[in-house]
Amino acid sequence: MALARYQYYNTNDDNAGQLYGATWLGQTFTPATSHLLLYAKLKIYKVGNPGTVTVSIRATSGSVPTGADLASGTTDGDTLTTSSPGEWRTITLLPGVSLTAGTMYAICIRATGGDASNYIWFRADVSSPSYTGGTQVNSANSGSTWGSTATTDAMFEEWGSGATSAIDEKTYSRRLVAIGAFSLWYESAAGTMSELSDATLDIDTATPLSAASAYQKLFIANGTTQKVFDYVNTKINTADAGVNPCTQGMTLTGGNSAAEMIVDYADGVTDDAAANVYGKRITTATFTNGETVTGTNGSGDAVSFATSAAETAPPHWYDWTVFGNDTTTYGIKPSSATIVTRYRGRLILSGYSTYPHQWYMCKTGDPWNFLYGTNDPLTAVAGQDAMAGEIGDVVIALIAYNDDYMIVGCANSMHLITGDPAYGGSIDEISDNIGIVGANAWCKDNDGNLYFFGTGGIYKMEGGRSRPLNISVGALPKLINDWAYDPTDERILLTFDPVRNGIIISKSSGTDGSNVNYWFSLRTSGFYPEVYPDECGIFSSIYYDSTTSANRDTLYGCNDGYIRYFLNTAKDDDVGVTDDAISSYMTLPAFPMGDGFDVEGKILQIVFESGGGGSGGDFSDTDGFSYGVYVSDDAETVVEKVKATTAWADATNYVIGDLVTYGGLEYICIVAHLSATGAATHEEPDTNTTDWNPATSLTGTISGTGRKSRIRQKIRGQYSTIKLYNSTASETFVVNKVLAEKQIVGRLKD
Amino acid sequence: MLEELPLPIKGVNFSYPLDKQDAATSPYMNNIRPFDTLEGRIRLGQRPGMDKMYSQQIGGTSSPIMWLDVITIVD
Repeated sequence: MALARYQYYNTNDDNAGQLYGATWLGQTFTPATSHLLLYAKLKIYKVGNPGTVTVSIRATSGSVPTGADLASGTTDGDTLTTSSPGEWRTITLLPGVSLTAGTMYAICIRATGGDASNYIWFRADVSSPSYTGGTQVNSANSGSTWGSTATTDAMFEEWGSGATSAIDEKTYSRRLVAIGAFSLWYESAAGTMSELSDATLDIDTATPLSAASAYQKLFIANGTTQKVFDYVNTKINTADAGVNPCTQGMTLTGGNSAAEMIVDYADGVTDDAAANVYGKRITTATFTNGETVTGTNGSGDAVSFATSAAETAPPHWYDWTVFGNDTTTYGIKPSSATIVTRYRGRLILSGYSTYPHQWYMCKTGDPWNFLYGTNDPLTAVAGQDAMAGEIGDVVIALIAYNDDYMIVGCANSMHLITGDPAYGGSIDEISDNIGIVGANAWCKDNDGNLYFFGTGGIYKMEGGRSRPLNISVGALPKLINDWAYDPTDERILLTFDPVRNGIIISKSSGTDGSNVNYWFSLRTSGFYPEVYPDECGIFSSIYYDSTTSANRDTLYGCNDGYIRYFLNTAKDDDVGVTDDAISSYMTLPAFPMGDGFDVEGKILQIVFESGGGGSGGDFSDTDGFSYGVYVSDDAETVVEKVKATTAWADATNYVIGDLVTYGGLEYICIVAHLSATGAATHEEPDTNTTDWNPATSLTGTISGTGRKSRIRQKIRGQYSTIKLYNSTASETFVVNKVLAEKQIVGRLKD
Repeated sequence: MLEELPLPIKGVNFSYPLDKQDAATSPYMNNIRPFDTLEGRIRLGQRPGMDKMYSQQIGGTSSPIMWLDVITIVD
């Protein structure tokens, strides 16, 4: 049975306690680790035929059992041996009981069908009991009350699983890592980010950096600063690495502690020189200070050195170098890089400004080996050494696709690396005139399609390897000019959100966090503009498939140092102490009220249908929203009115046709004038009806859900549109339908 | 007779002349998504709000988070 024994006391029994009827016995115990107790073994024997024996687990209070059984099982007491000192009898307690480390519990035993002639003896140590987690306990009234015998420990073992519930298939954990403000933070426990103090001010977040997760570590390329965040290895160090060097994969054993580790990395292998050795410890014993550590390296040589301190537990932060800094054996790693990714078990570096068209791959499975061009299919390989060759353009982004292929996004071109460059792979140019704008300006969807912000807009590559197709030019023809991306201050980022099935295309300013964004829906293939508070400007992102469901979502690293996500129930943006209301609005396409040429029309009535069905009910209810109806002689003027964003200002010369906003509404100037606050004339647009006309022909607010009452107000014109909006805190809105009745009324007056 | 006015379920489109705007697109919108946050149906509604996933501020100061990543470790 692949289960473990946890608490037990199974030696030195020299006596026994009798139990039958209302007389029960037990033993309290305290688990050192949380686990699932599945069965117990008790050393017992019988006199006569006591019948069914019941064993149970109970909680304790005051060091004696309390309450009902948490779990129980039975065994046939009549089948027990009659010989002292008895037998170890197993009693299953399925489905088990989850025990918490440090909490005292009790194993209780009873034979309620027994009597003075038919009973159980429960073996115990009464002369020198040494179990520290509890004592024998007894009850004379069928478990209603209990007493304890501090000088006695009963013979027991409790067995179970390391799981803490009946089903626990978790074999690994994911941990979020965030880099910002010249520091690295990691998820030290589910839901808690902690600073790795060794990394603070040892990373330059103001300059380009990227990272790749591999081998339970994070490899960071930050120019000449190249680091490893090691979450798994134990570190031991020595003042003298010894004559024969450590090698990756060898086992080291502590001479005193008997601790063992499998070596992963060493930062030195030079005799008479200090070294830190990192490896996965495979024993519960730990390395101690001053002990001699020995092993046999990959060449069959004996390795021996003395530790100069006790081992250090992970996480660790150290320079990413070749193994032991031994460039003769392990090659030369590029001294600078800003791009790193993982492909085919290799870590790939690029972004070295001296060789900007170059890429470097470590040996397969060995991030510490950059010895290029050896006679080994797993050899490290670089562009200058591979038959596949260099890329003639400046490398901007590396985008790996499983083990099959990798896209190399360059400043002016896109390339496809297929297979392994060290073993029959190839490099092909996909496009010679489309480049990618940034190292993070791309994402992949669930179907493996690649999206990136390129030199002409937003592109899609079906399956990640077809020719790029510009998907934005049809809807956003001026995107490149409108966004005027400045890489010295701004970051463009694409983030696939698998939860909401869309992509956020964001551009945020490092100066103040101001941002412009599009939500690209994979449901509708449409673009939807979004703006977030400056605090929420997006600079990094990841879909975090956390092993803790509460943290599982698409996460965004924001301008103010907080990690955020989109919460469907949130109606505001969380910017700190207070929340910011979301200003949301949509404008319907302009529509002709008459014939669209020479004949005007009237809107006779409008009906809105809000989301939520009836008030209450099964479907969630929308909050209210406002509407504005705009009318003009042509569609462009109508939309112009809607888009008025210039706030009215005092002491300003306005001319006929100027559009301003005031008090949340748009106004159009009908008489040229110099504005003046509070003056008898030329005052604010809401009161100055001589100089200003409302740009809207009709405004109002819709409250409640479902189909709303008809709005009967006649509005005449050639073209119209309707704007729906809400910018109220703690509100959101959903619209199902807008209905209107129109009527042709006559020829347009010139 | 009432007729249904087309809602811009396909987002914005700045290519068309405004009198020939695609019926399912808008010339002007902000913070609207084509699925609602109440029921997740394909209909227009305000985008969800941004909320903090962790209470800790990276770096303890208002400075952009430049990289997020995930390490997978064996328990």
